[in-house]
Amino acid sequence: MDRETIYIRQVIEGDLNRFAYFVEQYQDMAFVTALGILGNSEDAEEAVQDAFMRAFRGLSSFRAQSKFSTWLCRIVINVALSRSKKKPLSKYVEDLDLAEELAVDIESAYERLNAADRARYIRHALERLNPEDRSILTLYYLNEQPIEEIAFILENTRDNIKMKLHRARKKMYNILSQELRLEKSSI
Amino acid sequence: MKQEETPGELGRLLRQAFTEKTPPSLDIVIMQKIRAEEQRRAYRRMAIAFALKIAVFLAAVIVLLWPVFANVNIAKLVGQTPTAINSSGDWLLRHAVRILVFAALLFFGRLLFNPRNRPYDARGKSTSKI
Repeated sequence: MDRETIYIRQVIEGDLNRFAYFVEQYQDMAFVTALGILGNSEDAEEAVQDAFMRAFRGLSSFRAQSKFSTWLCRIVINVALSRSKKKPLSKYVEDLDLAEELAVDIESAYERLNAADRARYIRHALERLNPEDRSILTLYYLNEQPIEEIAFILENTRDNIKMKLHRARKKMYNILSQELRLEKSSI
Repeated sequence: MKQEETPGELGRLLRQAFTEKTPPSLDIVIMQKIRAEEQRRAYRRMAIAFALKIAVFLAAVIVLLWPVFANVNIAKLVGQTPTAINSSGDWLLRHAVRILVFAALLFFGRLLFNPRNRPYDARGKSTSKI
């Protein structure tokens, strides 16, 4: 029996302080996940608090079919997605063929931007993706979770996630291309 | 920024864009909320237990007082004739059922509402293992 399973049992039996281990261990992962989906730290912080509360309440239903972190991540994703539905960030981009041919010369436009502007563009592009695409990109690139784990978290097949990841990445590049092209033309 | 950019590159860009660090007091806030929730749960459990005890106690009162209100023949109960009881002047005998009921209620009440069973002591400090 691994350490986490023992701690989970102790929390269920009433040793509340043991839960602090999980909070300490996974708060960063939960925060980054929520931040990627919600786009701002205030909402992300509230989502993380909510997610940990739900995890605590539902700990007795945790069946150890996955790692605790994976289970928690699923909760964080669900909480963040339901929050993002309440507060839509911007109009999502669904059109894949958008700006397909606009990659040329975008690199130079991107290089001209300072760090703050680059971050702004990236965040804005991510915000314009639909919540599912945002979740996949966040889990894969920010959390660096393997495809298998993402498939488990999002209750999907591995191949499906791979395909969705590819499409989300493409959409992201297209949005960036479009925005940087607009930037370039405005200079 | 080319279409064929490697996944690692997009990861780097995303990480550069999301530089916010986890708030330093986040874990403390979460644990405070969890403790408060657990405290609320403990109070709720206590209130439910108390309500159940009251219900059981009232049921016991009704059951135990039934012979008194239903005019049960005490004489028959103690194996004497009514005249013998009334004329004996034996207070204890005449009030036997009432005394028994009172004693039973005292015992039952003490059993149910024993302060030592409460999860909080006089200072409001939890004595149960939460």
